Amino acid sequence: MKEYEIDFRKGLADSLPIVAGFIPACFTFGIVGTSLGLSGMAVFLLSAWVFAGASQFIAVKLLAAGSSAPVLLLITLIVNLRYLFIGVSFAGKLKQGLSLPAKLGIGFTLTEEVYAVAMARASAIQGNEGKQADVKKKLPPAYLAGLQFPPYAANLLATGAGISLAGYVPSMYLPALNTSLYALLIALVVPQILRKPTHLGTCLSAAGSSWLLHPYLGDLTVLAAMSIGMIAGMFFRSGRLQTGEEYI
Amino acid sequence: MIAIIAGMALITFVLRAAPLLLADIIGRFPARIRLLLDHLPIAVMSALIIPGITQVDPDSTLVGIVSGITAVILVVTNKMPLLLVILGAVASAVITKLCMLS
Repeated sequence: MKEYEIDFRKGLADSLPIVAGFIPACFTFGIVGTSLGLSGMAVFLLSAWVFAGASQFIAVKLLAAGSSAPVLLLITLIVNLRYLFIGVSFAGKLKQGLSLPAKLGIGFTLTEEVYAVAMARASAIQGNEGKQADVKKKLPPAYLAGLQFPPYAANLLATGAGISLAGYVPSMYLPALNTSLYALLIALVVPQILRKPTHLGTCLSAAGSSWLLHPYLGDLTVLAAMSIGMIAGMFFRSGRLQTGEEYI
Repeated sequence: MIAIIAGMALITFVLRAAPLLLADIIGRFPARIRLLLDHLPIAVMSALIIPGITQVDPDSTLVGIVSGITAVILVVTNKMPLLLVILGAVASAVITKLCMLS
């Protein structure tokens, strides 16, 4: 098997947990959007074009309430500003010299879940290959193709299913199924804390400030809490800044 | 409405793709900023989990909490694949919901 084929298959395998998390979430989105009275087309396009979890749920509520275009665009900008930070962090793990379409494709489907799984893979690659050439430590594009396509496809299919089946599904079990996305995030965070206990400081600072700020900041909370967590993380390890070890 | 959605999509896409297009510049960021960004994955995931998981089910915070604790236990005690952790956590949430409804 060629190397890119191996990478692609690794990506596909790593995408399964994300797909499992997305299916109930997107299915629920299809049902919620339709039951708010939006057209199936509008609900589907939010999934197909925007593809950004929380901001989609906020958007259907606002669209259904008849909010104006500037309000919707501004809220989208604020709520999704975190992707700018995620993108900057992720760019450092990409191979140099990728083609423009490859970069646009990777960017279009870069959700938090994809980012988190890819970063875990990047640290695994670094761990295995030690001090080998820097190029070897980066995420191969074929791996990202395998990782990012299935969740997007699942998003389209599950949203479509939710739109068509709205009204036929007993909705009381949907919240329980939707804990899958959080289970995925927990399963990604905990091993990193076990490996480097100082991560616990970052985790607790971000989670704690998110908990405290949520009543006041609402949709802005994630942005504020993640910044606090990042800065706190720097303090927890400031003593070892000179060693130059890769952190995550 | 389609135009508004297209605008939202464009904003989101630019936020995600622009850093990738500028990757070469970002590679030359000072070490301190790159170290700061190294803490981002944990920070953003932690901020998403809390308090989100307690609000998944508007009728009961318990469903999310049980699911989350199950996920932590499965991860800490077994080295099982992510997919099985998720299935286990969701199963515990559904069982919790079933118990509360009956």
